[in-house]
Amino acid sequence: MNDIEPKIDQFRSTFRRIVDEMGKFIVGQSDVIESVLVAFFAGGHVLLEGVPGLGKTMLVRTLGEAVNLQFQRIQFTPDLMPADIVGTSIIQQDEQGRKTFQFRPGPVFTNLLLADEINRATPKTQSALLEAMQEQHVTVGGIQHALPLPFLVLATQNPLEMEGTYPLPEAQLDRFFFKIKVLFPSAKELHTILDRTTGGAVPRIEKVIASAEEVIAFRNGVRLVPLVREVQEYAVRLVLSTHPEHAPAGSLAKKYVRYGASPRGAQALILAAKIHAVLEGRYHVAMADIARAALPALRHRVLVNFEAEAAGVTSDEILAELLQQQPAERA
Amino acid sequence: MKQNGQHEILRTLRGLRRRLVARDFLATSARATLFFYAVLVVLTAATLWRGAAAPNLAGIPFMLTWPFVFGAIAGLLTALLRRPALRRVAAGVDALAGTRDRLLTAFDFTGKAGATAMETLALEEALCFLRTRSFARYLPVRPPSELRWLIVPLVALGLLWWDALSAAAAKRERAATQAAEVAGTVKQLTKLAEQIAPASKDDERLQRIAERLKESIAQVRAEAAEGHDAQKAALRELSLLEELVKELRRPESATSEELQALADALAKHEQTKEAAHDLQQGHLAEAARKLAEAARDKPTAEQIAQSVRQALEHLAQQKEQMSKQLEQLRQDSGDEQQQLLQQLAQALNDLAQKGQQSAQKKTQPGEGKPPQGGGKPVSDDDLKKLLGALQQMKNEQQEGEKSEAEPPPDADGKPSDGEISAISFGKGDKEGEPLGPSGQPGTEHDIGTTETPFGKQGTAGHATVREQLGGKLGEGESLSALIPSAANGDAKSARRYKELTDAAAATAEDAVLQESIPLGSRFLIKRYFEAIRPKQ
Repeated sequence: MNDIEPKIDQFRSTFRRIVDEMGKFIVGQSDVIESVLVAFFAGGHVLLEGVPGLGKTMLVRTLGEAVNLQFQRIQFTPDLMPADIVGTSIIQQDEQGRKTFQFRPGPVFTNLLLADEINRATPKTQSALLEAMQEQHVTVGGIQHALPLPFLVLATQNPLEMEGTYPLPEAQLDRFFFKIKVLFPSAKELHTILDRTTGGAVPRIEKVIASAEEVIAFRNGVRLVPLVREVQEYAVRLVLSTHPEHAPAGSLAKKYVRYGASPRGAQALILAAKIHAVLEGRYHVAMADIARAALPALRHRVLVNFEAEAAGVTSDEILAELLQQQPAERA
Repeated sequence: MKQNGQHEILRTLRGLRRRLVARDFLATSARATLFFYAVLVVLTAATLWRGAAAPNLAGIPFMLTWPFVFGAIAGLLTALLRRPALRRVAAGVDALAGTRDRLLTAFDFTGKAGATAMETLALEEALCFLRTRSFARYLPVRPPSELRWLIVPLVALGLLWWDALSAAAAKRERAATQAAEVAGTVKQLTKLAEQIAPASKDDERLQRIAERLKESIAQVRAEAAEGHDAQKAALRELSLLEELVKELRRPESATSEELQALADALAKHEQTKEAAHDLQQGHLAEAARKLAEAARDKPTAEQIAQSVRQALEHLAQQKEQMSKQLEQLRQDSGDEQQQLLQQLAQALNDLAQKGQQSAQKKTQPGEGKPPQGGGKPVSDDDLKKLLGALQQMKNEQQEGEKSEAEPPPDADGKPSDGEISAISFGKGDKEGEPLGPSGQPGTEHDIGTTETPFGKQGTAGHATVREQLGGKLGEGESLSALIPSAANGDAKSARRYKELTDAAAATAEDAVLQESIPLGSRFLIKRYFEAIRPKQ
């Protein structure tokens, strides 16, 4: 019984150490770092949205270095082809002169994949990641190729209203565990960024995690965190309330939501809440943990209608109203 | 460890539930008490508004107590019925205290068989956390804030009761005053009722008057006891009595004197002697038929009409003289009140005697009946007397009311502005018009104290500038002749003014008698005719 507690404590300390290491390069953005790590340990993919130059790519690269996992980066462009991501079979001639098709893996075969500016590629290319993200393998030439575990896609995208972007299809959006918005740093944080990046000293990232197995062990450990029925009901109620046809939906949801969150959203809520609970030193999930994970887990799963877009109502506002209607705790 | 934890968490949750129930009890009791106080205010207001008596001072504490009792009972029942389950208590306290659902988790895992290692770890962590916290401060048991609103119904009740008690005291005082003011009237009416009572057994009309008298006495007493305006009530009851007597008197026909005068006039002519005979015998229909036959001859009809007119004018002059003499007698009387009472007593004695005589006649068949109205035990004159007495009492009551605000009448006995003068009865020469002569004091509908049909000359006549209005005679047919009789000799009058006023007075008197005219309007009519009365 007591062997779990040290593991949980180790996970907690490891998490903090990763945050500290990433903080050497990433100034501020503590919520973004924590959310990325929560998704990482929950086994989910992350979509980072923000204008260029906010350190999204740096954040992912730093994470790859800190966790000592294989890291690849794909710069998505309009002419990028699916084979450029998953790999392709090429004809190889051996010493005896026999020619055979040999699979050459694409950059997707890695632990941490940075899909930079993912919405600049065409939908066809974007969809090339679907199988990899959900099934943890790719199929090329009728042959499945398993991806190394842990496999995590960290995609960045510019805001959708920018030129030359292709919005991600709903099916792919749903496969992202979190969608995290990277906001512009404050003046103080900007000063720190300038101090660190324009000086001579370059910080060095220490590897916190020794192997991929350790990460998988942590993932399995946090999944054991229990929750009572009432807390799970809260998560279910929250997800159902994003559906306009459902009774507890808020006024904004009823008016502006086209499709509500999927069951993957509820899964993401619970898993993220478990990690938040452990990070707070608890061994059970509370409603407050659910509420804390609601925005990054559900904002890309709540699809607003045209009326909402015309009125400038975002899914964040709808979710904020739902959380206000169903508070996890009284003030 | 798990058993201890279970016991611990259950004990904590039960303690918290007791506090929740206590809070619920206090809050619900306060709200229920407020509700019952509101009901009490409404009921009190409605009861007092409907005229209920003022509350007993000794009962007020009891009345103030029962909303508390009912509120407490309602609060207790509601709190017990709504007693939450321990799971709900845990969830509620978690939400209040920000425990990150530790109470709920601990409660859930303590009762769970086969808990996993992580669940046991969670339970231990939750218990450790809960041991360091006191949840009583999140569920304080204190008087609910709603209690401060109790001041509103209490103040409302206080004001209502204070108002009711003040009104009751004022009502008692007013009732005493009113009873004193109408004591004389009640006494007179009582005396009148006692005098009528023996005779009323045999006479239906007197019986109705007696019953009406009793009702009037009871009504005046009741209104005086209620603190209402008893003087007005007395006036109203006197008016009702007057109306009753007038109603009994209404199917009025010519008096025996008038019939006799008419028969004498008809007997002077050969053509109408038979009609006169029938008239004397009381055969009115036969007399009318024969008179109609005689009237076919136009010269004869004119002669008969002339004779009848002269006879009736003679009768009217006689009665007018009698009226003047009676008026003179009344004015000569020193104590008017005493005279009225004597007159009333006399009238009632006469009524009683005649009622008895009538009863005796009814029991002796075969005896001759009087020619007209033979079935009436009480004559019309008697009813007139009674009516006059009632009218006089009413006038006195009115004068009593006015005396509080107006000076007494002049020393020379002339009526003041507010005093009612008499309207005399004109000479009726057609069927249906009142035939009785006017001017008999105390025998008419009015007070009958004036010497002329339009009462005494008032001050209005002196103050009025007499001016003849210029008019233009139309080209149509006119029944009148132009007589230059007005001021300065240049104005023209269609008829003699006195004739006009006589005709108008007769019509007005008839209207006053026939119609149900309010007392105040009668007074104005009298005043009007007094003002336009021709100068003697």
